[in-house]
Amino acid sequence: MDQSLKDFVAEAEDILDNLDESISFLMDMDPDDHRKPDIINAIFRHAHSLKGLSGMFNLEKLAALSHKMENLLDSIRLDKVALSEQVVEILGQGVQCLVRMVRAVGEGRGDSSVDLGDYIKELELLESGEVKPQDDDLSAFVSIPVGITDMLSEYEEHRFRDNIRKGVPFYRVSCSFPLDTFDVQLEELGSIIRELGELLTTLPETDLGGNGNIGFTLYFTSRRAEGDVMKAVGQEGRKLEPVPYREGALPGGEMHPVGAEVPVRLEEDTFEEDLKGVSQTVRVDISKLDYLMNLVGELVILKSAFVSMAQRLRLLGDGVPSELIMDFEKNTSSMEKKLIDLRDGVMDIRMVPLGQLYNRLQRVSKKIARDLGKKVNLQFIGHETELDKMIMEEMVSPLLHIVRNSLDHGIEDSKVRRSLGKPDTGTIKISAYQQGNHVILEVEDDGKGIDLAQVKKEAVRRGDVKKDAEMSHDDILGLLFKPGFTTKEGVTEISGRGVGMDVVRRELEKVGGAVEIRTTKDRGTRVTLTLPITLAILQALLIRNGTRIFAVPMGTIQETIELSRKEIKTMQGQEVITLRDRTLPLIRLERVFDLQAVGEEEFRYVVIVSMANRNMGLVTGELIGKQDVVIKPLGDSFSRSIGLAGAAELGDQSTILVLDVAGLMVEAVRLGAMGKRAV
Amino acid sequence: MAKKILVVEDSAMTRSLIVSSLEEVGEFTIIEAANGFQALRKLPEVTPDLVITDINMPDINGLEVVRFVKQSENFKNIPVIIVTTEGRDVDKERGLRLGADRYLVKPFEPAQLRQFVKELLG
Repeated sequence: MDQSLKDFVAEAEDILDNLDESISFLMDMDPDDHRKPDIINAIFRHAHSLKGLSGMFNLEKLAALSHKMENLLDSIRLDKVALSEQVVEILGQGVQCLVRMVRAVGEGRGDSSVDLGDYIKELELLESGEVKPQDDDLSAFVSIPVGITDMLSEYEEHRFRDNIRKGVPFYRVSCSFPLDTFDVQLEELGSIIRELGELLTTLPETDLGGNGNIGFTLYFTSRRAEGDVMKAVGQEGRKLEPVPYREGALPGGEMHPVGAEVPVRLEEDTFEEDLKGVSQTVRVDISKLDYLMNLVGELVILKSAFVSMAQRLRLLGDGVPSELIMDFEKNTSSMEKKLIDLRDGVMDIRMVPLGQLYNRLQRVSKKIARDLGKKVNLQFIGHETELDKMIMEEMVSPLLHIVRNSLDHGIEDSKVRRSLGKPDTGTIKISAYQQGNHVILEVEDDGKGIDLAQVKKEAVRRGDVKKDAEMSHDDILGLLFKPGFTTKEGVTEISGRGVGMDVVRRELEKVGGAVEIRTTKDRGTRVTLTLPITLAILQALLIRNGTRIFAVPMGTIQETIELSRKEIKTMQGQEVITLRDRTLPLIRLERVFDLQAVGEEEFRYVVIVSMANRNMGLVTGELIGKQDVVIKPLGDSFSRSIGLAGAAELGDQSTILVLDVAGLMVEAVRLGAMGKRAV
Repeated sequence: MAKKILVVEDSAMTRSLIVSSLEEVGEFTIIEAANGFQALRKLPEVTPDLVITDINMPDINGLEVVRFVKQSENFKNIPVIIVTTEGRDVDKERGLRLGADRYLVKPFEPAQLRQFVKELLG
């Protein structure tokens, strides 16, 4: 089956599971349960999502049925249709029909192969007449400010009116939370309120409350004793007050119950079938996998502790029986092997084939090509290449940027191509393959290439470089990554590849990857993205500078050499060494990260790292050894540090910094170019 | 600097549809918010040049987002486009009364959205 259809089935199954659960919940619910409106609203939202999803995949019959169900549910939540047992039954049957259709899609038969009989007509029968709109502002009934009504959706307004009609006591609570945690805190407050009654609306306050805080006013109703409500909700930092009814205000609202007998029909023998699921997949929240990965990481750290215990036992010598030491070592080593299997297994769950991304990319690219009137043959290679799900999601927009640039500015019109002896139809090749611990993603077109002279001219105009500056091919390409490198006048003349390339590079750096451009005039352009396979666990070389330990990702290391101080030269304020006829910039980590200096005599080695065909040397004091490290995000104090991928904990609970080599290169160039600090 | 557009929409599918319609127009930086809460957080963080919002969302509805933008000292000049399934006149009236600049009913024509964006950011 087409991957996109598989995606559809997986997502649709999720929605159907939720729908089914909510409807069963509704069937068992006490008629006066205050949670009922929330449940009905949830069912409405599920039907709405399914309608949207099926529409996107042109599954017309499925979309039509979910649309009809959505209409009915909308009438129910607005109390235009009463929720009788019979209506709940009809809804339940609707879910079964939906399940059958989704399964038909999953089996390649298509949604239209399912016969719905008169079910749609039955649904339509249930929809009843409109309730006349109520014009009175809500503030006429309860003591709320005029104008609140304007901020409510039709559904929220209906819930206000319904509660007013039933005379349920209203409350208002005002609170203020920090911007970075308010959603969690509101969620907590919301669940307290839902225990007591019904949360009607959450209104954000316009003035931000200063100090990075944001204020909210929540309206809710509850039949519980006022003292209980005050006690449960009214805590420090929250202002809670009852909202009294206006004198003599208790408006009426007419319900339109459905009286018509509606026949129920569905063949009995399909029930068992309907209980079966469609596919063998389980959808898992990625945060659960992150949790597992963290656990594995902690086990890895524990394992190191065992290894060092074994060494210490051996050092004790005579006091310990040697077969005990051997047993200990043997078991530690078996544990290590199983641990590696476990780590690989968990990592494997996070991996998804790039084909998933290709399908999406292809749809959008074809559309862009059509809109631009370009004839292009899109080739995708490496559908099976696997990548961490999180990284893949991060790559969607950079890839789209690059492909769009190729389509828009790379591939020429058919006429131009013919005059150059190229085939009328342009080709864009997107390929992916694994290289060690990295996945390489390449987008290559056979278009006109990037006009370097134009790029330089534009950079001079922007004041990025001097007019007479000596610049190599690579230097000029580097200009394309300058923030906002594009101008309204320049876009069409230059091949326009500057558009968004700085954004692309930033997104790549976020996941510890790198981007590189190669271009030849009239032959085409190739953009190469180098991505780590996964984010969570990294094989690293630990190095020590003074008392500080850094982890260098193994995948980036070319070699390590001994430092010979007399070979260091300084070029334009930049320390360099020459290695096999290549000039290599040297990086002093202490200076990049503004750390306390280390005595020069301590430095004895250079670790040569490489990323996207660029090399540099990290000057270090000691090479400690290879180790798996579990990367954790840096705390606030470091979150802005370019060149750091995160922190990691060692077996002895000390924390070290994990280097992000791609970011480090950028930072080194920036510091070097600014001439502030020699790097 | 590329103009920044904040897209507030809880359905990932619709959001990607809006984003891809916009990406075809040109160099915008698009910031996505999957619900009203995220929108509130991202507004002061990025101060967008345009906000596009859905109405029906689980936590804070789009009308509240519109009011929040239009009544804040810092954001009141940011244009807002409402994109929503609700073809109801009352929602449209309310949206426009709260200060929304344009109103688009789903399923919408990408060309129409692009037209609005051009008018408001032009």
